[in-house]
Amino acid sequence: MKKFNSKRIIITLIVVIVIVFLVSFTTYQRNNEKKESFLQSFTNDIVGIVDKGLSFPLKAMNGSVQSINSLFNTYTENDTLKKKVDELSSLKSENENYKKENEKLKDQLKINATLTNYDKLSATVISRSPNTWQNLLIIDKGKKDGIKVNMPVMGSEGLIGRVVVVNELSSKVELLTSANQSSNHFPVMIATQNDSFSYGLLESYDEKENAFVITQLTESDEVKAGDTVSTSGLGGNSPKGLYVGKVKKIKSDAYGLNKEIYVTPASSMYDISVVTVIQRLAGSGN
Amino acid sequence: MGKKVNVEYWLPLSLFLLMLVDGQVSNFLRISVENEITLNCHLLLLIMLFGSFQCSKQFLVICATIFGALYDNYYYSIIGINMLCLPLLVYMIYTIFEYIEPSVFSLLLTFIICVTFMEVATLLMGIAFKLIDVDILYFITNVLGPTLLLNVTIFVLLIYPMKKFFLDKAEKV
Repeated sequence: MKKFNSKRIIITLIVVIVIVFLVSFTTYQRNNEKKESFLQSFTNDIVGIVDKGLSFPLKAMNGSVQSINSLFNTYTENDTLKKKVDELSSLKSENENYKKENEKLKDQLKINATLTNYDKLSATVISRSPNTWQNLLIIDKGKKDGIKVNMPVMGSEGLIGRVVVVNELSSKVELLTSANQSSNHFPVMIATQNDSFSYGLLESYDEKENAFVITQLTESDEVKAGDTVSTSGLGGNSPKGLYVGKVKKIKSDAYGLNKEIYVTPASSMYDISVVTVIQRLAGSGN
Repeated sequence: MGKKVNVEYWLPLSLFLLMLVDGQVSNFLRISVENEITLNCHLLLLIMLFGSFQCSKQFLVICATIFGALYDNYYYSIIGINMLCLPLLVYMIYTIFEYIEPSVFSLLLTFIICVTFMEVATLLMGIAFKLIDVDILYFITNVLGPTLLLNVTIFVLLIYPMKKFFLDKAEKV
C-alpha cells in the first residue's frame, strides 16, 4: 500500500513539473520571442482551415438574423443617414483639397512617410477563444500576407487590439479587453476642445463600465467628456491617428493624484467578423 | 467487439470537431446576448462523459491530453492548461462511475460537476500563472451561472438520444 502511494506521488510531481514548465515556456515564447515553433504553427494552420469551414454556417445564420433586425430599423436610419450624406459630400471635397495640399507640402519638405502613413490589410475572423479573460481572435491572414507581431488591429470603426502570434496562414489578435498583464499598451492622445493634445497610455479595460482606461496623462485639466481619442504613434508600433473612441468620464485614481480617463470604444468589442490590420510605414524599414 | 474498434475511430474525430463547434457556438451566443453574459458551450465535455462508457480509460485519457494540447495551442498559444484539466476530468468521470450507477439524474449531476470543474480549473490555472486578472464575483454571476444553465439545457435536450446511443449500446457489447 505504501509503495503504491509513493508511486502516485512521484507521478503527480512529474506531471506538475511538466505542466509548469510547459505553461511557463509557451507563455514566455508568446510574450517575448514573438514566434511559434514550426509544429505549433503547422497544427494551428491545419485547425484553422477546418474551423474556417465550420464557421461558415453559423456566420450565414448570424448574417440572416442581423438582416432581419436591420429591416426594422431601416426607416429611421434612412432619415438620419440622408442628413449625414449631405454633410459628407462637402466634407469629402474639403478633405481631398487638404490631402492634395498636404502631399504638396510634404514634397516641398522632402518627407516620405510621417507617423500618419500606414498600409491596410483586411482579414476575416475565423473564431474567438471561448474564454472571458484571454480575448483572442483568430484571423485568416498570416506571415504569408505580411502580418507581423505587434501590428495594431482595427474593427469596423476603431482600434480593437494588436497581433500577438503570427502563423503561416493565420494569426491571433489580442483584444484590448483582455486582462493580460504582460501585454504592451497603446500610446494615445486626446484632442481637447482648445486644440491642445493630451498624451497618455491605454492601460486597461473596465468590464463594468465597458470602457478603456487611460492613465499617465501629460495634461488632464482640459479633457472633457466627448473629446475624441486616437493613437499618438509615439510608441513605435502604431501609426498616428487611429480612432479609439470618445471620452466617457474623468475620474481621480485611488490616491487622488492622477486622473484616469474612461473611453467608450468606437468599435464593438464582441461583434467582430472582419478586421483591418494596420502596418505603420514610418520606421518600419519599408 | 467490432463496435468497440469503431468507436476508437469516430470518437477522436467528433471530439476534434466538437472542440471547434464549441468555440463557434460560444462566439455566436456571445454576439446574440450582446456580451452581457458569457455562455460557454461544452459539447466536448458531454461527448467525453458519454464516450467514457464506450472506450477504455487509457484511450480516452490519451485523447483528452492530445485534444487539450490542441485546444491550448489553437486558441491561446499557451500549452498546458487544458492539457492538464481535460485528462484530469476524464480520470474523474471514470472514478465517479466506478461507484455510481449511470442514470439520467446521476449523469446530469456529473455533467454539472464537469462543466464547473473545467470553468473553475482553467480560471485558477490562469490566475496561478498570472495570465489573467479576474473579478471572482463577476465570474460567478456572469460566466459560471449562465454557462451552467445553458449546458444543463443542452443536456436535457440531448439526454435521451445520447443515452440510447451510448449507454444501451454499451450494455449490448
